[in-house]
Amino acid sequence: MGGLGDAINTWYASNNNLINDSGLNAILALSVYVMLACGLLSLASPAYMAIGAYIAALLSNNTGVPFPAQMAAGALLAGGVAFVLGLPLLRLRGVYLAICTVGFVAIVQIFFNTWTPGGGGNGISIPAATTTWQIYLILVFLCFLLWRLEGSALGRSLSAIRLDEEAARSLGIDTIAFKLGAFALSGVLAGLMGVLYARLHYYIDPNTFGFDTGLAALTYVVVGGSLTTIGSPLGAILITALPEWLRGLNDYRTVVNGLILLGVILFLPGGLVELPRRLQSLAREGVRRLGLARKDGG
Amino acid sequence: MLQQIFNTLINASIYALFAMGYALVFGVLDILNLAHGAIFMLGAFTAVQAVLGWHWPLILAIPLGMLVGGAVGVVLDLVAVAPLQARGSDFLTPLISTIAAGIVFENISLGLFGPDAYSFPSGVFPQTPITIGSAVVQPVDLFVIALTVLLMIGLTVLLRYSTLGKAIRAVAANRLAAQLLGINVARTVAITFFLASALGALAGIFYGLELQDSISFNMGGSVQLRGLAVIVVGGMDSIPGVMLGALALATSETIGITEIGSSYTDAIAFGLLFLILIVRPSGILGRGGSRAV
Repeated sequence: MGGLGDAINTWYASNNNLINDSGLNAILALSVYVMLACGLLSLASPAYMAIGAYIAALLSNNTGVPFPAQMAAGALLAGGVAFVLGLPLLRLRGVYLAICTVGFVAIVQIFFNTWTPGGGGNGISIPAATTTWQIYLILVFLCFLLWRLEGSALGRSLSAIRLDEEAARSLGIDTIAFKLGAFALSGVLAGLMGVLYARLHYYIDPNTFGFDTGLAALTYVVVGGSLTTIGSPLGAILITALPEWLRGLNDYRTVVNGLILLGVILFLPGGLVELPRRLQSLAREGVRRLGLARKDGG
Repeated sequence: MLQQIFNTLINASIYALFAMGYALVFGVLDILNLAHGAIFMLGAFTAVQAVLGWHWPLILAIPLGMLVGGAVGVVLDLVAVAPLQARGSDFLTPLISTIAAGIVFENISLGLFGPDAYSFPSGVFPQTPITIGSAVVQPVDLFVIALTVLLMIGLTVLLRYSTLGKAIRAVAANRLAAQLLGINVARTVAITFFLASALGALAGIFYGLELQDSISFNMGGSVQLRGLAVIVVGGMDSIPGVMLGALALATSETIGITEIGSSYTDAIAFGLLFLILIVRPSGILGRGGSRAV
């Protein structure tokens, strides 16, 4: 037991940053995923994340509000902002919605850049509190929740909206309520992640909460598979850990990293979650060919 | 005042050239090419390498940068976009595949040129300032503005009257119908990528000429968002719209800097973007749909 325990401890000690960031990115990816689940492409998650992170900073530095209450505050406030943002954006679709959310992210980022209580562009320090088991407990809980949602009538309504909004509405699905709900849930998830992020990294500044972070989160979801809950954390963990696994390649690891992303998109259009089925069908194809060859031979 | 108008026109030229590339590809394929910022960067690096490394005159380095940018655009289409289109994918997967391609391009450039910022040498363009009324402008400024206007006119004529332009518009309007009429769709799309990327590369070269120490592997990030703002403000489907959008963005930035202070310029640009999207999602001059160049 001792040997295995030690081995795990050593592995954890040298990789804990990576493990923590993978978990956090997985939560951020879920916040993009819940929007995509009803056909909305949003890159607003970094803005919600910023709201959560700055709430955590303010509450930790100025008050004695306990950590769990900070999580609730960050999640609820970000969720509220997301809900309000959703109101004017309901009529936008596809790329237009995406670009508008990019605009929102830029505005929020500029706000925090000039906001003195948060240190402006210099950022602000925060006492650390987040631990690995908290991140993964929350991640597993969220995955379970969303997985249950997927199979429920609620989840089926969401995918009906994703497939054909007009048809969904004609079936009596309140599309507006569902879409606003998706906005709010997306805000809650990213806000919660923002609180965890701020209290993991000791320090936050506005640069973190920009366009690139949103694109990265979207990439996690699409690479992992945007049609099931489990795809988002899979993609997040793979993409966060990949540069580390490629460390041996030194200078060219980021190039290879990009090439692997490209490869996944090109060969697994449904994302990584498709890999087992894809391999299975390849194997079956191989067996069939072998069988045919044998028959021809005999 | 006149000076500020000139500064605005220079920025507007760069934004318009860059955003035209977005608009061309979006018009034909309905996808956002997020590797466009990386092509902007590759164009600038090619030209600066030709001038600094191989001592080419600028007048040859510019077409070379555009050619390389255009060629990279075609490779991007063949590798990261066309295979997905052939499979009938949604707009989301090409978005991600172009991001991935952009990461590859940026890191190849990082590997080749390192993280340093480069500039064109100061003697690369005549430096006798020209006085126009109360404004003092550099010859390079006039060159940038004039060439941009010429190219925009040229592009309008090309799209409206040439066979190629008609093919591009036919593919934009209806891919399947265009194919049935005997238009080589794959080739037309590749040519569109070439044109769009050559314009993006030229925008990068102009950016490098106008701004000291601006050519670095991640220079595309700064125009990427502005390009999106321009096509949204102007409408994704018209050349005059893109020019107007670029002008509106550059003007709001100039006013922002002089009247309110530079830290709020982006807020103004994106506030404008936000408002227009909410009020009129197809842009100021857009024709309602999201199609057609």
